[in-house]
Amino acid sequence: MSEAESAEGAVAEAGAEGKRFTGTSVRRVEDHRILSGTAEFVHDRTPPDCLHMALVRSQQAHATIESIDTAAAEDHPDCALVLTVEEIKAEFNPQPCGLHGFEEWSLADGTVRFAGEPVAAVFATDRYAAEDVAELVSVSYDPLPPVVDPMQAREDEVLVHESAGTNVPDGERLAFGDVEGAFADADHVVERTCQWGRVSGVPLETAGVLAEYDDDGDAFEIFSNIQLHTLVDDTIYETLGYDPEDVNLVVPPDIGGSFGTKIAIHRYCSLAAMASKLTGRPVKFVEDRIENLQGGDMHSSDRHYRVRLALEDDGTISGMDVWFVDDFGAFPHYPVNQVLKPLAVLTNAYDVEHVAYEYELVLTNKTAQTAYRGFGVDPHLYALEMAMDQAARELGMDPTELRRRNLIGPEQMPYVLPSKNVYDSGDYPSALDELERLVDERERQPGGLLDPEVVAERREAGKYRGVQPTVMIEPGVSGSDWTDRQRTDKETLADRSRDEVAELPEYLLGEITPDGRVLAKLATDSSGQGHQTIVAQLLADELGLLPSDVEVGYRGSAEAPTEYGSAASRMAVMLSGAANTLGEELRRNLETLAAGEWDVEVDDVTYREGGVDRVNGTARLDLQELVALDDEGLTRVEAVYEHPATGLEAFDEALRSKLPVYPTAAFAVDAPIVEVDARTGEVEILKFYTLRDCGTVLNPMIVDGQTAGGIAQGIGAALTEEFAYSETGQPLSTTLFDYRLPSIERVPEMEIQHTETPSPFTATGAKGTGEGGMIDAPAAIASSINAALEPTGVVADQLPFTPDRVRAHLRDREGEE
Amino acid sequence: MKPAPFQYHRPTSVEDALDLLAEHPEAEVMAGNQSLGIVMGNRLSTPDHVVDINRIDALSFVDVAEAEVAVGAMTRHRDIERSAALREALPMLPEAAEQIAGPSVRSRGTLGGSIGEADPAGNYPTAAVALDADIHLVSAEGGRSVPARDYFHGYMFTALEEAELIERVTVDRASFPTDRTGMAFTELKPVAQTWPTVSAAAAVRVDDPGAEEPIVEAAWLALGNAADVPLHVAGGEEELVGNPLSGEALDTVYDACFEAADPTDELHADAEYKREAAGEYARRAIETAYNRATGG
Repeated sequence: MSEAESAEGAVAEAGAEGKRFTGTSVRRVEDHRILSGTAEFVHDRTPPDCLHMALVRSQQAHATIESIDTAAAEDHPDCALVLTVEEIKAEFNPQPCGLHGFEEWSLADGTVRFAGEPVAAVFATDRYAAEDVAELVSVSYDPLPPVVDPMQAREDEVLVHESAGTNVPDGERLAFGDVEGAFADADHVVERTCQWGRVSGVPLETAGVLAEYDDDGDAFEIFSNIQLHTLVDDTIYETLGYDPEDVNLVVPPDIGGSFGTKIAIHRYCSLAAMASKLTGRPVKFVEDRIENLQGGDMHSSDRHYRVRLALEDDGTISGMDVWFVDDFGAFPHYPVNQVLKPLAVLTNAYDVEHVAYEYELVLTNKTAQTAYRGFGVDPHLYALEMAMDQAARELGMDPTELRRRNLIGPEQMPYVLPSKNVYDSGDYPSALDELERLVDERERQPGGLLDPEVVAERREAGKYRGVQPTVMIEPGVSGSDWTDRQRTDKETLADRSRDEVAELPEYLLGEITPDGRVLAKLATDSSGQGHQTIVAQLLADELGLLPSDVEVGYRGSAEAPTEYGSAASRMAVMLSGAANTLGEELRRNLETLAAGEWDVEVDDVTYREGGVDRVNGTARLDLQELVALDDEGLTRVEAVYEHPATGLEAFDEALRSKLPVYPTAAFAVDAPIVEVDARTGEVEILKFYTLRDCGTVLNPMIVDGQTAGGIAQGIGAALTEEFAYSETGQPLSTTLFDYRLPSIERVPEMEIQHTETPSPFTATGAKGTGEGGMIDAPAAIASSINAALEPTGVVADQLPFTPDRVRAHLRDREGEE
Repeated sequence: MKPAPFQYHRPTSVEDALDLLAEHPEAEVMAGNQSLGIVMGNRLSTPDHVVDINRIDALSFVDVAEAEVAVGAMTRHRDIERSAALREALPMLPEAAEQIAGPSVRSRGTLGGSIGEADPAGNYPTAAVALDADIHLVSAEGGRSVPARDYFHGYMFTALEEAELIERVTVDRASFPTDRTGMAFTELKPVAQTWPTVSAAAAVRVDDPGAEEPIVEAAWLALGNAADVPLHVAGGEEELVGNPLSGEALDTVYDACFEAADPTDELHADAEYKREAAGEYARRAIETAYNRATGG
């Protein structure tokens, strides 16, 4: 379908009955150029005289660099520059790290700390030549013993950073309520350990950058697919040693996915910029797939959990104690607060008063962690749900009944968690009942997947079927102030006043163009979420226009204000709030313009569908006429939408204490029906039922896309994906043969249902939902596996629960019998 | 991931290709380029000469004659998968082809490329060993034929010599009368785009498919990725002959494969797991083949 046809379709759907575009499945304006191959990605741009970078990467997991010989490389006719840390130190700075006390240079400084760490960068006339030149760099290493297992790393026998003096540079125990008392008085104490494998997002497009230094202005323009370019630009301008306004990060409108993984690609951006300054030529780099998988600073959470529950005889949970270790790899990069975000959903959907939460952030000889969809919440919910299943077994209770008994009730909304975040709205028990009813009705009947006769027959053949409904909360719209908790002196938090909290608002720039259309510009970037469509819908409604009358672009980091940006399931809420404000201000300004032109009071005019009318019906000025009249800049507005938590007293304590603030709580009830082949250990998801609520839905098609993609990633995390390492610290998953993304053959039919419980905390009632699916599917799948394997006693205690792990567990059980 | 510099040759006839190989015995032959390009991109292979044989149309054919099936080395997986004649005569081959990766790989990858690469996890090597196929090799010096069961010497190491080209693979049809033979190719794969953890190729011929309990007259069985070469499991065949297929017989197949398998540990599949999976998949392949032979 052509663009024109799709726009007409949208008009017919929304315009004819005067309905709003927001809330309808307006087709994504991005898709035409993506599907027709006309989108411009970073890799598509190569200016004349451009140099290409290739990196010499360490093959050692841990070693001292004895020497680097670059002479042969420099002699290569196509080589323009070779960089090692020495050249960088002469002119530039180390990269900012996620924790104080770590100095990370863009190239290894004397020691390599993971296989894949860049040791030298070479710049040549094309990428082929650059790789030829890279081969000529000779690095001599003196190997050091690597530390690979995070539990062993805690012993500090081998230090990843001598200067830090420990492999556990960060950790905290937070206790809320009387945890000791709750456990002392408990009828039952249940403990569950489990492991979450090292997974991450693997976007179709890898990291890429084109850096150009302007000698006259002594400034940089860096075109990159970096995520959060107006927030994390400091990781680049500080490294370069320039002011923010001299390092302009510019993003393409189309980025082939990120999922958080492109937030910390500053190493590439900085190296390309340095070389551009040193050579006076543009410099380009696009990471190849192996670089991305083995050493692209892009793996994510890798955790060992121990969860204890204090329960009463009737199954009521009185206390919870969560402890985990998170393997961050060689450097504590930006997303260190990934270990804290679970505090925003500390008890998941359960009402528990006394809770302890403790983590240890551990360094090992692996590539550094970055952010990934879910930001550390996904493993937390998995660990909690495994503990729930354990409790049900030990108490002899039905696991669904145990969950139901502990769910937060709708009458408790808004619900303040022990960790002070607030759930805005939702009726979890009804949602659980509703999904159970649906599964019963569809699948427990004759011929259904869970028809008892079918289940028994399959069992005979060694195939175990089961399902376990779970309720999970997706925290949305992160605040920004709490995110530096680990770089803050905790002592100062006790008496910190609310006034000291500095949240970042959302900025949305809008102007009427001379042809009477609307141009909006975001102060952040998009990597496939469909922000252009959402903003076009929202502004079309605000101004009574068609979405096709609204164009949406992106601002560079030098010009745009610092804002948090498109992460942490923020944009539906923040953009809809900002669009509201923008619409209101533009309408008012246009009325002022028209009133001035007609020399009447503002009350005598009114804005309506792309123009201003005199109330008496005698005259009208359309947008094109109004913009021509504007000599005061009234048709250009920068709307500012404050973070919703800042206006709500309920969040004051969390804000003041730098505890994670996520003012929307979307939720999902999942019921994946799984079948485990006991003979081969294979797990198949036969059908994935899910009932989801993200408040007011802005575009159902986009929300369903987020859900399906998130669930697919969750399936990968639960069953197939893992960045594994050998005992010597060699990465084992460096190709897509070994890092096993679920293809369409592994992604089952999904039955996606929605309810809409608007958020009372946001301008449009929307809740953040960009991380759904990935947050909840792994825990849901693991719980369903536990249900299926209940007769065997096997528990999905290590994700991904691969066939060999399933078999090893079953073999152990068979051995016991 | 850019290859080191190399000299590229693209002959259009077998003769020209063989002359080039005689001239550059160290050259790499490029067939469908679904593996070579990757190892060259990683610079794990840095040949000075690459002989691309994609323009040699004479090597791309499926010839199903009365006595023999012959498939040319440059026949694409897609063509094998979709060949109705093969589906009828040797259904194991299309079944093996259709399980290789995804459509884009199958449109480019070739039979000869797979046999030449000789990855023990490859589908065609396993099928060729099961079917007791012959592999026909040519060089400027002339041609020779090597039984598939003698061709694979070690991990990715074969009877193929420098300056030799794989011309075609043939299977004697006398052993596989279509009216009373069943075949199956089963594989355990974590995800479609990767190699199988193990695979099993089986054929079963019965005396009389219409009988109450058809007797197994002959059986063929090979395992993929269960050792450093595609593994012919004679022990899994012999126990079946002379009796109808039974649960006990299938257990002996499992045991024979479990014993014969000598796999190496790999990510998410240690040797013990692979031996179990080899046994189980062989059991399923034999059972399916028998059911197909008997019209069940």
